[in-house]
Amino acid sequence: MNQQCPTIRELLAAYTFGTLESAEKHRVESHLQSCADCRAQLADYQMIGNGLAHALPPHLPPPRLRARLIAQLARRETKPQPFINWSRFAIAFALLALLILNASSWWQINTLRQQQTALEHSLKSNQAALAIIASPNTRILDIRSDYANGSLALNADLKSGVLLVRGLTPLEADRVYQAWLIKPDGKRVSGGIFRAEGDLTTFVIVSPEPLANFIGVGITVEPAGGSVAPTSPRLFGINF
Amino acid sequence: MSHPPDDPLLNQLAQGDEQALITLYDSYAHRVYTLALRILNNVQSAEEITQDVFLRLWKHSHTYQSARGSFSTWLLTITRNAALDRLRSEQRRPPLDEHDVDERWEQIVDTHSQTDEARWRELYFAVQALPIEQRRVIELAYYHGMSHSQMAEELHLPLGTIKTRLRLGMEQLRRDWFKDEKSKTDATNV
Repeated sequence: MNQQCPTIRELLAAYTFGTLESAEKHRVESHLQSCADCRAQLADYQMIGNGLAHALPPHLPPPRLRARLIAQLARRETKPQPFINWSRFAIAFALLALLILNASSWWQINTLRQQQTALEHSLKSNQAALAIIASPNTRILDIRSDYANGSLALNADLKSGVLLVRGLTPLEADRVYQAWLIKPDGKRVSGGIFRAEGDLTTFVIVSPEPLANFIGVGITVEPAGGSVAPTSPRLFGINF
Repeated sequence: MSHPPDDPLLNQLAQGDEQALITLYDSYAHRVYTLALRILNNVQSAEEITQDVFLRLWKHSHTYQSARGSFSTWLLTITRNAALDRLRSEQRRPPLDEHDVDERWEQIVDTHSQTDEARWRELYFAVQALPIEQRRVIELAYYHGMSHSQMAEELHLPLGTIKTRLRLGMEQLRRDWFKDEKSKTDATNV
C-alpha cells in the first residue's frame, strides 16, 4: 500500500461501475498497474458489481414478451450474415456489373419503346386500312405479279388506298419499299415508304392530290428514308 | 467460464438455431427483465430492453468469450448498458424510492444452481442491511449509472461525502458477503 492508495480506493467503486469521469479513470488505471493491493480490491469490487446485477428479487417477464420474440425471429427468418469486407477490386467488379446491367436495361427499354412505336404505327395503319376498306366507295383491285400477290383498295373520297400484299420479301435494314403514284405523263409522286410485315403486309398509301389525277401505282426498292424519285426498277404495279 | 449446460446452446445459437435462443430466453429472461425493470422502473421500457437484449444475443452471440466471465454476467452487462442508455436518452431519473426487503425472493426456483441463487440472495440482503446513506449511493451508481458529481447534485451533498459513502458501503459488502467467500467457487461462474 502506498500514499496514493486511500485516494484511489475512494474512486474504485465508481471505476468498477463505469461511472468515473475520464481524468480520474486514467488516474486509477495508472495506479493499478503498480499496486497489487488495489488490484485485489478491484477484483472483489468487480465480483460485487457482477453480483448486483443478479442480486435482485426476480420479476417474471409477461408471456407476451416471449411470443413477441418468437414472432420477431420468424420475421427475420435467418440469422444476419456477417459483414463482408469487399476488396476494392470486388467493388470495382460490382460497379462494372451494375453498369453493364444498366446499359442492358437501357437497351431493352429502348427496344421496347421502338416496338411500342411500331405497334402504335401499325395499329393506326390498320385502323386507317379498315376505314378505307369499309367505305362504300372503295374499289378493290387485284395484284398479280411474279414478285407478290395481293389487293389494292382505292378510295377516291379519302384520297388514299390500302395495299395488302402477301409474300413480300423482307429487305436489309438500309432499304425500304416505296410506293409511287403515277401521273398520266409518267411523272411519279411518292405515296410513302414501308417494310414487309410477316406474311401479310398492309400499307396505307396517302395521295397528296385527288386519286383521279393518277393512272396507277408502282413499288420500288429505295434506300432507307425513301427517295425523291425512283432509283430502281419497278417490282410490281397496278393500273387504276 | 460459462455454465456447462449453456456451452452447447451457445454453439447452436452461433449456428443460427432459433430454438437455442428460446431455451436461453427461458433460462435468463427473468434476470434480464428484472435488472432492466430495476434500472428503468417502467414495465414497458423493461420489456423493450429485454427483447432488445435477446435480439442482440441472436446477432452477436459470437462476441461472448467465456474466458472473460460467465455468460449470465456478460448478458446482464449488456442489459445494464442498454437500460442505462435508455435512461439517459429519456433524460429521466427514476424516483429514489425506498425498496422494502422483497419477500418474493423466497419463491425463486433457480434452474441452474441453488448455491448460486443463495449467494445472490445473500448479497441482496447484505445490500439491504447497509446504512441507508451507503446503500443509496451504491444503488444510484450501479442501477442509475450516476457519477460522483451527479450523485452529489442529486443528494445535495459534498463530492467527498459521496466518495466516502460509496467506499464504506462497498467495503462493508466486501466484508459481509465475502466472509465465507474465499472458500467458495467464483461467484460469477453461473
